[in-house]
Amino acid sequence: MSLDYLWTGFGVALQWHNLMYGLAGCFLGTLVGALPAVGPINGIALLLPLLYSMGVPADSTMILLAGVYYGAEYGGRISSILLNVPGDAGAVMTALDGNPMARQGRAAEALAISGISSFVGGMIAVVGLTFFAPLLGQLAIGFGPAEYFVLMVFAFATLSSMVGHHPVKTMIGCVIGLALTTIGLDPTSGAYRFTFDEPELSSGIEFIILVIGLFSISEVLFMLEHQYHGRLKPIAVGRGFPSLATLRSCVGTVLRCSGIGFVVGVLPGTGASVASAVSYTTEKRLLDRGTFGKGDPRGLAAPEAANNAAAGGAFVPMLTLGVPGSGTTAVMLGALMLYNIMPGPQLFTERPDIAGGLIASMYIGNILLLLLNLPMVHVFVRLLTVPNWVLIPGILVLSFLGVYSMYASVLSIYMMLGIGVLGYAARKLDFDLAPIVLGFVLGRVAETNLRNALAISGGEVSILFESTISLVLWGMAVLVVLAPWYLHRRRRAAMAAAPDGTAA
Amino acid sequence: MHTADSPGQAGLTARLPGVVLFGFAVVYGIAGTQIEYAFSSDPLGPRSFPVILSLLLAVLAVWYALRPGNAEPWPRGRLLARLVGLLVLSALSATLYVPLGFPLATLMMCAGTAILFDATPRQAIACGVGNAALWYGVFVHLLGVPLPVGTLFGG
Repeated sequence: MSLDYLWTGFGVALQWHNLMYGLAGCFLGTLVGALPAVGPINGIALLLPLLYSMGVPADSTMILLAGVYYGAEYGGRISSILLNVPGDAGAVMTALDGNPMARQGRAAEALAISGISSFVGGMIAVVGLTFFAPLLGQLAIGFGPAEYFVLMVFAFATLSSMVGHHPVKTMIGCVIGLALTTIGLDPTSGAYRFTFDEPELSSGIEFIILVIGLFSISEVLFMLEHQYHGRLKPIAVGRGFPSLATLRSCVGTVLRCSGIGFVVGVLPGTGASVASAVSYTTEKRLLDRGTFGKGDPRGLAAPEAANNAAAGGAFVPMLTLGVPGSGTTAVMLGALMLYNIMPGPQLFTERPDIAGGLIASMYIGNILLLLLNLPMVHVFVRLLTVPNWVLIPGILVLSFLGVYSMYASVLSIYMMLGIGVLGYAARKLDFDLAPIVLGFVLGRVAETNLRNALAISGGEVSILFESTISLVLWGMAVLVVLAPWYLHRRRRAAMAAAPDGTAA
Repeated sequence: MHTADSPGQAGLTARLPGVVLFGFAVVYGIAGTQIEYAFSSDPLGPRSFPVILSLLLAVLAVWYALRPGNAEPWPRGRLLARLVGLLVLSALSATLYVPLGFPLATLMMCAGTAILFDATPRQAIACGVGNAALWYGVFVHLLGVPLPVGTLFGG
C-alpha cells in the first residue's frame, strides 16, 4: 500500500493559503462548536455557498470545512463544561462530568483534560484514516452497481438502528430524503418527475437550499422558542492544570474511547453523538465506583476522545465509498459533488490533492486546535456571552445571502424558509434531521446503482444477492438492525428478574 | 419514554403526522406510476424507484400512526405569534430585496429579529445597521458578489 497520496497532500496542505484556510476553519469550528445556537452542520451549510461564490478552489474549501467539522468537536466541550448546555450534539455527554468539575472550581482543569483528550482522539483518528481509507478504497474497487446499492442499504440500516431513539422516525427521514431526490429531470430516461411543469424544479431541489433551510432556519425558530430567559452565565475559568496523576489516570480511557469513536465514526450513518454516548457508557460500566457524573476526569475524557475520533473516522466511508459517516460529512459530500468531484476509491489515485490534502490538513489542524483550545480558550469563553439578539440576526442574514449568492432568486429564499418550517415541525415531532440529508445526498446514487445493476442482470433481482461482498453487506445490515433489538430484550428480561430495578 | 410505551394513550393529534405522511405516500406513489417517458434504457425505468419509496413510506407512516412516540407540544399564544412574526418578517424582507435593496431590507429584518430576541429598541437599531453595513461590505467589496441596492433608488 502506498502513501504517496499523503505526501502529495502535505504539499497541498502546507501551501501558505491552505494553512490560512485550515486555521480559519479550526477557529470558526471551535467557535461554532462552543456557541449553543450553531452546530457544525449549520456552520458548514452557511460557509459552503460563501466559499463557492468566492471561487475558492475545491481543495481549500474542503480543508476549511473539515476544520469546521472537527474543530466543532473541540469547541462543543466549552459550553458543555461551563454552561451545562452542550454546544453541539457530540458534546452532550461531556456535560455529565465536565460541568460538575467546573462547579467544583476545577473549570480550567476540565478544559485542559478535555482539550488534550480531544487532541489524542483526533490524532488517532487521522492516523487511522490515513492507513484505513486506502485499504477500504482497494476493497471498494471490486464494487459494481449491485454492491454499491447494497452498501447504501447497509448505511440506512446502521443509521436507523443507531441514530435517534425512534427507528421508525429515522427511517421515515431517510425515505423522505430519498424521495426528494426524485424531483426533477431523470437523466436516464429524460422524464420530468414531480416538477409540476415548473422550470425552477426541473433541476431538482438544490442541496444548499435544503440544508440551510433544514438546519439554520429551523434552528433560528427553535432558538426563538427555547430562548433562555435570563442570560446563562459561564462558570469562571481560573488558572490550573491537571496533575500528572490525573492525566495518567485518563490514558487508558482516552485510548479505548479513541478506538471506539473511530470505529463508530467509520460505520456509515453514525457520527460523533453516537460515539460519545457509546464510549461514555462503556467507561462507566468499566470504571465507575460511584464517581461518574460527579466530576470524574475519566468521564470527561471519554466522550471528548470519542467524538473527535468519530469526526475523523466519519471521513473514511465518505472519501472511499461516497457514503457519509455522519450528517455533517453528508453535507461535505454534497460540497464535493457541488465541485463535481465524485468520492470513491479512485479519489486517492486520481485526485490525491483533494483526498491527501484534506487528510494532511487534519494533522496540521489538530495541532492548531490544541493551541487554540488550551492557551487561547479564554477567547472562546468570552464569545459564549454574546447575546442571542446579536447572534441570531447574523445567522439569518448569512442564510439569506448563502442562498441568494448561489441562485440569485428570491424564490429560492422562500423555498428555504418553507423547508425551515418543515424542519422545525419535524424536530418538534422528535425527528432527527440528519437522516433526511443523508437520504438526499445518497438518493441519486442509490437509484442509479439499483437501475444499473438491474440493467446488467436484465431485470433479475437476484443480482443484488450474488457476490460475496453483497452477501456480507446484507448480513451486516441484518445484524445491525437486530443487535439493538436483541440487547433491548435481554435488558428487559434482566429488569424483570430484578424487580427492584437495580439491574441496568 | 412517555407515550412510546403506552400506544393506546396517544391522542389523535399525535397520530396526525402519520396520517399526513400516509396521504403523502399515496399521492406520491400514484403520481409516480403516471410519470411519462418515451424510452428508458434500463428495465426499472423512472417510475419504479418512486413507487418503491412510496410503498416503504406508507408502511412506515402506518407504523408511526400506531406508535407516534414522543413529541413536543406545539407553540401557541404569544410564542406562536413570535414565531409567525419572525417568518413574516423574513419573507417580507426577502420580497423587498430587489425593490428596497439589500441594505434596507437587511436592516429591517435584523432590527425586527433583535426585538423578537428581547433587544431594546436602541440595541435593535444598532444590530440592524451593523449587520447591513457589515455584510454589504463583506460581500460587495471583499468577496465581489453583487447585491441589489434597490430598484426604487435606481439601482
